[in-house]
Amino acid sequence: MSAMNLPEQADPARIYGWAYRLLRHHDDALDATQGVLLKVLERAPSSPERRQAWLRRVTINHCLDLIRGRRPTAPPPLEEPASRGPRAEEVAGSTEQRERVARALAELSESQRLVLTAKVFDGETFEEIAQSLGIATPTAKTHYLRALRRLRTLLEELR
Amino acid sequence: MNCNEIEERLADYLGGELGGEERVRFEEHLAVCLTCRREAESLGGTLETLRDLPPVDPAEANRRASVLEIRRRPAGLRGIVWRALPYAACVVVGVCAGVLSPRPTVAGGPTSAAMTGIGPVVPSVPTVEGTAGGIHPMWVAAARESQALQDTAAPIASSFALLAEISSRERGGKK
Repeated sequence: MSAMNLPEQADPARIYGWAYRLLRHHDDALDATQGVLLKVLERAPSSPERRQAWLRRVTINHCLDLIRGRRPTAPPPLEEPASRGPRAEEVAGSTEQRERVARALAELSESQRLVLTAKVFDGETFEEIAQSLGIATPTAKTHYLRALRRLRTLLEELR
Repeated sequence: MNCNEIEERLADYLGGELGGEERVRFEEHLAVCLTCRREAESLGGTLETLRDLPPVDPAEANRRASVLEIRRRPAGLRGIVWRALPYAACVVVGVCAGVLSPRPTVAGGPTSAAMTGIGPVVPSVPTVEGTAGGIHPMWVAAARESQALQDTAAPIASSFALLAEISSRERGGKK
């Protein structure tokens, strides 16, 4: 992709970090980053306060769409060769686990998914999350708890 | 602390935002209440599963994302002019190509001045035997060239529209 001009806060490295955490594959994460940056150029919110939450939402939804779009019969991408790290079956197991978690995340409501990932991936406080999403702090906590309980059920079902 | 109070504080506890005296009392209840303890441990396990998606090192993320050749846009009018320059250049090149491209001239056919729009358009259209509809091939070529320029101009026009929208958002965001 040739050079682009981006608004502030649209940090490609941060977007890449979110994408890689879900996809665990360098090329897929770069593709996802490019896709998100195109969306930034098209329709990022003008308000800087909302832009961060919007970016996280778009990135995570984009990655989950990619994961949902992967054919079930296609072998999952293995970035870590067995000779350099854990044994192959451990790597495959962790890849399977990652896909299971990603699919479960995809089943949450958007509010639940945003609050949960902001807390776990970015370590934001409930107050910060509430402010960025334009909701009350107790509401953010409710979303968080419901997301965890729903995720727990989904992970059991997907075993 | 009772079980209802535990439920009210469970999000804070799991989210690492319960501290001090409240955390002590919370954990004292978990020590004596099996139901609450199992719930907290179970949800804690779910959190750990999420945390098992480890983050990428920030320096590594910067290195990987650097291939995308991003630069920050300059602000204000200078930014608008800077962004418009490549598209303006395309328009100029397209117009020059249309003006300077050679036009065959045939006695009785449209003059090159007429076809470039510089001079008056000659209304007479000499026909050529065997041509569909009796249209002179010179007119057909001119129409194709005009269509080609239109095809080039359409994406440029939409790019200008996109630029205008981005600039409008910037101005709106600075209010």
